[in-house]
Formats: sequence, C-alpha cells, structure tokens
Amino acid sequence: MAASEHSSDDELIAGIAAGDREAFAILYRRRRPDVYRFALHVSGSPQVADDVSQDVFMAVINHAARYRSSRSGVVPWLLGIARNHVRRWVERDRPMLSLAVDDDERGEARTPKIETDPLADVARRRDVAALRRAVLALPVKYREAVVLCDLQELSYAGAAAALGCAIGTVRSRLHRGRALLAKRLRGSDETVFRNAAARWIL
Amino acid sequence: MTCRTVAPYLVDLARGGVLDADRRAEVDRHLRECRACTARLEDERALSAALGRLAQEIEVPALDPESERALLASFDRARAQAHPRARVWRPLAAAAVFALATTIAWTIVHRLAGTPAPIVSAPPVAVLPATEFVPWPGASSLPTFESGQLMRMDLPASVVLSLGLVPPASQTGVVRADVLVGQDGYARAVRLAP
Repeated sequence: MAASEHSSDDELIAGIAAGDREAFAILYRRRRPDVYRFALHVSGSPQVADDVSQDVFMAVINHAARYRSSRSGVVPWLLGIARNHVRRWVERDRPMLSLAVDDDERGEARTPKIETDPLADVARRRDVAALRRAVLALPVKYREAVVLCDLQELSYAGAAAALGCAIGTVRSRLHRGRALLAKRLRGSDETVFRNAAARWIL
Repeated sequence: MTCRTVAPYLVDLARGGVLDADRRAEVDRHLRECRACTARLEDERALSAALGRLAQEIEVPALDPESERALLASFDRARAQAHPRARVWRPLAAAAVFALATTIAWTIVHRLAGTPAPIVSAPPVAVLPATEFVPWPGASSLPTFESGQLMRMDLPASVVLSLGLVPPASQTGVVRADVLVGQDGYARAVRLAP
C-alpha cells in the first residue's frame, strides 16, 4: 500500500523498512516536532534540538526494520532514540549547558524568586520561564520523566518504552522530579524551603 | 491511607489520571481528613497546569527544506548501499522472464497450428555461473538481510530459468537449488546446488 498522509505511524515505519521514500518523508514531517520538543525540553538548546532531530531520523533510515510494533508506539520509539542522542550531548557538554534564557531574563537569578505561593503565581501569571529553568535544572533522569509524561503527555507505558525501564521506575522518577520542581519553584533558600514547603518532602 | 501512601495517587489525580473506585474512595477519605494533602493536591494541579502551558509555549521552527533534502538524499544512499546487486540483476531478471514467456508463447502457437514445435533449447538469457547466487524476485524491497539460513530444495526448472540460471542438462523438470532465507522467513537469493 502506498504511503499517504492517512497512513498510521506503524504503516509508515513498515514502508520505510521496505524502502519507501515517501513514507519516510511523511513520517519526518509528522513526527519531527515531537522529537524537536523533547530534545529542546531536555537540553534547553534549540541547536541541540535541531541536531538531534536530524540524528533521530538518520537512525530511522538505518534501523526502521528493527522497530517492533507490538512493543510500543512509534513516538516512544523515536523519543527513545532522541533520548540517547540528547544524553550524549548532555554528558559531553554539560558545563556549557545553555538555559536558553531570553535577553530580558538574563539579569534574573537562575532560580525562581521566593514568593509566598509561587506555584499559584506561576499558574496565574503564566510565568513559564521560571518553570522552564526549573525543569532544565533537574537531574537528567528526572527531567526525562517529567518531559515525557507531563510535557509530551506520553502514558507511563510509553515513557517506559522510551526510557527502556519499568513503568514503576517511570512513576517514581516522575514523582521525584515533580517534587524537585516544586522545591525549586519555592526558592533556593533552605529556611524558606523547610518552613513553607516541608509538605513536599515525602 | 497515610500521607505517604496517598502521595503517588495525588500526582496521578493532578495529571488527570483515573483511579479505580475503591482506591479513589480511600484517597477521598484521606483528603477529607488531611488539610496538608488537600493543599498538596491543589499544588500538584497547579504544577500540572503550569507544565501544560510550558508544553504549549514551545514553538517548533518551520521545516527547513534543506534539512529535508539532506535526509532524503541519505535515505537514497542507504537504499543504494543496502541493495547494490539488486539494481544490477533486476533488468537481467526481467529480461529472463520476458524471454521465457516469449518462448512458451511461440511454442504454444506452433502446436496449435499443427506443426511440430521445434526443440526448444534453454532460453538464451542464462549467462551466470551455475553456483553464483542471484537475488530472489522482490527481495530488494524486503528489510535488510541480517541473518538467515541456506535451504536446499527442488525448484521447477522453469522457475530456475526465469531467474537467469541454467540448470545442468542432467536435471529436467525439477532442479536442486539452495535458497537463502532471511531472518524474517523471506527468501533473499538462490543458486543452483553445487
């Protein structure tokens, strides 16, 4: 069957494995945004996100035949590949990690301001910049879980497939990552953290 | 339920997850009695809402035609490298099939006309050494060959001829051949058995 915009991801991967050039072009246009967003959320660098997007689809060219549809969806498979590429970049260039801060934000501290109820403030003022910085400051394994589950909206099973771990591991990493996020959003001051946000510690 | 055991379910609820009825009842009972966990659930919901906005905030750059062209060129190169022999043999296999079909048609026409058909020798398309592998028809569109096994079997002489192989004069009707079967169970190549 010829590949078309109506073909499922699984059908496109099967077409790519059989040498269908159009199937590859359709999958690239359809799924590049997912890969780009994941790489950007985890790395914080648009350049890395661009490079990783290309690398992932190069891997698709060479390894489409290895995809097994019964194991997981195509998106978790693609994000699993992206995760490996981003990890290599993070481990290599971590000291140069760019937080992708806009010019008008450069004067601010990297940790969000201490406020009486910063989570509500984030929600009210749509201050996503602080949250973006907090996500990027998470240890990579927690960051990946938060990005896959909360930003990419993958199921626990999909995230587990992307990360190559058990569903229980995904859940515990996500919960830990969210707790760390909350802690960061409540500020870096340890006194404030102990007094105002003790309930976040389990 | 304690504050510790209810905590994971608060995250699930904040993320829009659905708990089974019994579990939900236990969580609700705890929340009615625990202001700290009620507050935490609200915080978790606020965090989920903020993460939702962060997800929407990302703008993916428009597709760069140059990047797409580069990837498609890589795709073409990978295809060419994966099946270099198929490109050579495809025209030969097509020629073999055409020659065989022509021979059969010519024979049938002569028989219907009541004239004795001349003795048909092997089609003049078989120029390969008898023990060399030739691609199985359609193998070029299969996944890359990674591993497999050689299976010895008898094939109709007409099939062997259509592949461009010349069976020995001693083998008529069926021909002993080795078929290379890939990891997925599909045939990839064939040769005359030595």
